[in-house]
Amino acid sequence: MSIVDKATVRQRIRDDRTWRRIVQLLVVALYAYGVFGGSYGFQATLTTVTFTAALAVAYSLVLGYLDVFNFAQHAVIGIAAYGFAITAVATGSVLFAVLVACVCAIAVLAAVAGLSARLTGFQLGLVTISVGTVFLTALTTFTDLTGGSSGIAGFPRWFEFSALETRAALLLGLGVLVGTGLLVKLIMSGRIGRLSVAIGDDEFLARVVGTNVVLVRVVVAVLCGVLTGSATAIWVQQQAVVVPTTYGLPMLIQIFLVLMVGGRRSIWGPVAASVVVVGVPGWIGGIDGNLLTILFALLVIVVVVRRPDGLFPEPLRDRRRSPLLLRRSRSSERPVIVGIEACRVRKTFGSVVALDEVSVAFEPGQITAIIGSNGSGKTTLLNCLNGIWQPGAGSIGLRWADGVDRPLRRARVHRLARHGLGRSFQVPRLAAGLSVRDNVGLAGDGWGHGANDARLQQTLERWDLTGWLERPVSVLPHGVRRWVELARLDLGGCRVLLLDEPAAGLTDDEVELLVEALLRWKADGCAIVLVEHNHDLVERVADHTVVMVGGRVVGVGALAELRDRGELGDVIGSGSRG
Amino acid sequence: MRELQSLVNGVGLGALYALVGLAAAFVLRVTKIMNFAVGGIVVLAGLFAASSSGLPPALRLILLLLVGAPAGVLVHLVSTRWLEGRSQRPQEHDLGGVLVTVALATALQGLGYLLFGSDLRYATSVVPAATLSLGGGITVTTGTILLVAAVALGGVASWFVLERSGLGRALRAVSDDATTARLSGVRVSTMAYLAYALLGVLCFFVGDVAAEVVGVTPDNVFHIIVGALFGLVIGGGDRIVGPIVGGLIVGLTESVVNARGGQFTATVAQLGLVLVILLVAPRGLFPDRTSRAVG
Amino acid sequence: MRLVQRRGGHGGRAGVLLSLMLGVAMLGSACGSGGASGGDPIKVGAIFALSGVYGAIGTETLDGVKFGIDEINASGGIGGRKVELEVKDYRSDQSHVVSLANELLQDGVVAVIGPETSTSAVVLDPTMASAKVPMISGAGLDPKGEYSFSVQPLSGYFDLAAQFAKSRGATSLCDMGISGASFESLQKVLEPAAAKADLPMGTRIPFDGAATSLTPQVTQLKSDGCTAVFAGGTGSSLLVIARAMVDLGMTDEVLMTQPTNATAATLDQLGPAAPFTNFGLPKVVVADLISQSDPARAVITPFATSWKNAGKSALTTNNAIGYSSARIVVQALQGGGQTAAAVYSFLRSGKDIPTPMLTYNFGKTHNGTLPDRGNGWFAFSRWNPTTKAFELTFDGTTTPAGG
Repeated sequence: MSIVDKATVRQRIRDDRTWRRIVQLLVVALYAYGVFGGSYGFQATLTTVTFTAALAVAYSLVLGYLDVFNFAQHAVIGIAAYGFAITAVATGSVLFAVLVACVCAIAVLAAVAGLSARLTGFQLGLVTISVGTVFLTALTTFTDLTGGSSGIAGFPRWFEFSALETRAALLLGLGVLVGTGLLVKLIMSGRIGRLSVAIGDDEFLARVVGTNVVLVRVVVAVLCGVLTGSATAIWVQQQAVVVPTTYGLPMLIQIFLVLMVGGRRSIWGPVAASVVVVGVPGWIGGIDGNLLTILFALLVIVVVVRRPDGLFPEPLRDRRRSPLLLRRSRSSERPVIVGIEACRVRKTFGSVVALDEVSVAFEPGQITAIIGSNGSGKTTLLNCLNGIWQPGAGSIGLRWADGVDRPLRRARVHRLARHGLGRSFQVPRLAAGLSVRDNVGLAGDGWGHGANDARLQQTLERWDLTGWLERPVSVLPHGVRRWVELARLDLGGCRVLLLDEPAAGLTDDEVELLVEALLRWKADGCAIVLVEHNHDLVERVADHTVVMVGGRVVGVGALAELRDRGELGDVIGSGSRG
Repeated sequence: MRELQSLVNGVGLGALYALVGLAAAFVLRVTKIMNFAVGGIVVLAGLFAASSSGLPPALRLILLLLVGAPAGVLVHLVSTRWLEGRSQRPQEHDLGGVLVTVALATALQGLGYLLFGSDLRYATSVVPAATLSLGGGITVTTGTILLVAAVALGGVASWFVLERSGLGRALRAVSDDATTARLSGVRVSTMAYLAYALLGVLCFFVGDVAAEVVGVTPDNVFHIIVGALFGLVIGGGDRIVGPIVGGLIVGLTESVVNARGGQFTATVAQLGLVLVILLVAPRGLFPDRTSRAVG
Repeated sequence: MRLVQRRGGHGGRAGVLLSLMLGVAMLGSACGSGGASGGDPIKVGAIFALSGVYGAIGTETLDGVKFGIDEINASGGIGGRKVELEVKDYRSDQSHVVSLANELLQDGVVAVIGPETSTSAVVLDPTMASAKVPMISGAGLDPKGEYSFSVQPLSGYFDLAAQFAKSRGATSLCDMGISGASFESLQKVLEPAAAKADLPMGTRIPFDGAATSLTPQVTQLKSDGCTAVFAGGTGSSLLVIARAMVDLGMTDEVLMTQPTNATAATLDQLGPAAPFTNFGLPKVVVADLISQSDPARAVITPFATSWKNAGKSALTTNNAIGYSSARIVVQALQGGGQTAAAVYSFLRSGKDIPTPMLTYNFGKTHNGTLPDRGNGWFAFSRWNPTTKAFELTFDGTTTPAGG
């Protein structure tokens, strides 16, 4: 119950438009005062607030959307800053220096994004912290290049105003912030945004619907690098000096704080948070720097634990997305898998044999049920078919639409999915940060066989989801969550469906709807693998039933025949109990 | 001669990493969390040791060990216990958890700066400090010997607590499967408190030794914990021998490479070594058969 | 005393409120008042690192500055006007230096005292030059800006260091310093000093300022047979080097360092390295030990005595530097006038400005450096942890040359 309550509270905060309006108005008023009436000190601090917010918003692409925690973000900004300054001094070309700054930021971020696929969160944290150390050590080692602790000054600049012209600096910062904010909004309201949120919330789900996670990560990291690099290059010109102390651990904590307090996927949030975190101490003045660091670090902890969405989260609205940046998949040209087969598949975990010489074929236009008690290897078999696990021995055969049987090279989850392998889970997997429409629409980004906006709308109507569009998925009842998942499969146009206990937790009425869908898919010629405990359902729809016990197939045939032959043994008992 | 001397120096540094690594491995074993805050506790304990110059060293050490237990419990309350309620995802992907411990380490570092400034501080040695000549101009300090002895002591104590005592079995049961452990009568939350209290004692011990031998400054918080965690990644974190061997490898690498190529090259060499291990043998050199990769 | 201290710290909410109000008041007055009317205080800015890497040095220097300002205000101020010190803390982050200095300039300060290190002062040079307000900093590095005046004695104690090493039987002078400009400038001053003392230069090792272990570098010094080492860098790096020398059994060698490293915290931590670590201190710090005949005595003793009488802790070099900076500004205000331009032209006029630490002369003939007389104001001293005092271990052979 408490989960629902928490979600409701969070929902209330999201919906509290008054609160957000007030925050937005305050921010706008503050900037109006800063631009038109603020004193020197006020404007100077507000400029820092603005650039910090811009860098945080840029970083939200990686941290907020992809959920990749890069503890070397201060180094990314620092490398961009030094890349700019060194190049500007050496070549005299500011434009070229800005480009170098972007390339520097992109290089580090792309490397981190690439590594994030191979390392666990802790390992990535450790490695990126160390990368930050390497960067700071490099600054004090290669002093001919970096100027050591006195840094680099006197490089050519586009913005030649003096340090006293704080209004100009503030307007420049505001320009960078607005530009960064609009670009982030544009990128994230498109297809790539939907995929990023899916990856950030549930990477496994993203793979299963056919997302090339590494590609999306690297693309987003590159975009983040462009924004971070250019914002840094402009900020450095305003500061007119690059010194190592700027790019230390306090900067990292500050950026994390601004993003976590403001909301990792929000734009107004980080701006408001930057005003609170950077601006207020600056305006009050004289607060001990170490005390601030302690307070900030503790605040990060409180926010991460208590308000993972931040204090000013962006409301989740139902809206259609533009297909920005990742082109609509050319799914119609892609060959389609229409049947799948396990040949003498063996899978072990340590000393436990999960699958032992399992051979089953799943033909187009047929529903094959797999029954067996818990631990009999049903889900393991699905995972092997799905490409999640590679069989220890034996092979997975694929039948293609042209009638030929041939394997797929590098048969990873997302590649199989792109050729029409669909999957649903025992507990429906939905991306919490996406609307109902986008959760269904994910199918169009991965599986995507013939998906378009009109079909998406049709699918939403067919599964009776139109009434739920404005609710966050975290508060949906179980049945509706199931329909969202099945609607996604429906829209994806998959020809092979691996369904793991789709009837679990459904009411009798809901099971009727499920039967309807299963028979429709069957009529469309899909090969359906149905892992199910509900024997009534199996009896009604399945063409064949496969009985598994202890990782082995012990019987194949119609359920009634098997029962008559006495081959069900314990299975039936466990089934009726379930 | 320089190389030999560097190797001897490296043993001392490696022993320090190994000690901190033992503490971090202890937390990992019990809570499945890699706690960066361990670096902060060690350094703060060291700073307290270094600034209590009025006390006799032995009394100071005893007092610190006594204070260590509640300090460990406090860290548990602030970081892991608080985190338990929110973790919706498997720990290894729970990056927010990593952020919390990094933030806690930063807060402890800030506290160090606030109370003691950035100066390097040394504590009076329990064992009178001396430099012994090994011949050929090579010297070794009693501090290095003390560190190595502390590693042996810490290793044996950890091994005994984790492998041989009833407490250790209960702790392991909790870390493997908290629900089952709870059902079979282990008081999970009590166990976690106890583990962190022990961790606090271990960290305060390491802090005192570090302050006596190499000196402590808040600047060191991340250097020490990153070195120790590198050791854990290289050695494999689940057994006692992993952190010790890993820590020594990291320390020796740093010392020998630094002597030839400077601090920057040494840092890069360490990072390179760790990346190779992570990509080639992610479970480290001494993996526990039943465990996953570190972290 | 009218210190406008914008460091909240201990005052709690009331302090924050007060400083807020003061801040607002100052922001308001910044735009309006420029002219000097009767009893308005003269504003002097101070910019120091009070936390972070340079925090120890900055805090000690500021203590000295405040002592100097309090002293002049207690004696009635300058021409009936009090001197008001406005303090900014840049937290050892040089990216804050310029904007904080600009806030001081906006408030109409006639001079800025600080920052304590050359790396921060260099960042500030262009700002001060464009505002035409003099800055009295602890910068030891050349080149300095037109409006940048340094209280750091550049050459004095390096000559003493070389002579000291020679007198202790050293065969060469080795040195270590933080890599980069600071290491290079160290070579520039050490080489002529060593040549004067007829001592060849030995191994020179630049190191990373953030390094927490320099044992490998010290190992190299040992294997190269160095007997006298000059250690540049900060108090922290000095400690790391000193302790590594202890660990490597180099306790019979001579370790020397610059006076600013003799902070209370560093001295406290020297431990077993104290017997061979030597500081080139201004004599003001060892006022009790200098001989009756020393010409510096007359200037030093009153300050050292009043410092002691004020119940302050042991005088450090940075206290003396801070106090001297304040004395320079006060004398310029008294002798030149109460505007930034007047202070600047007084400083550049070529007049001798005596302070307890040194006599300064920033006239063109001295090109902003110290008069020769300064050499005699330094002594080599060693910290004695058991008595918590300095011991004068070497009284340089250089004789005061007079202003």
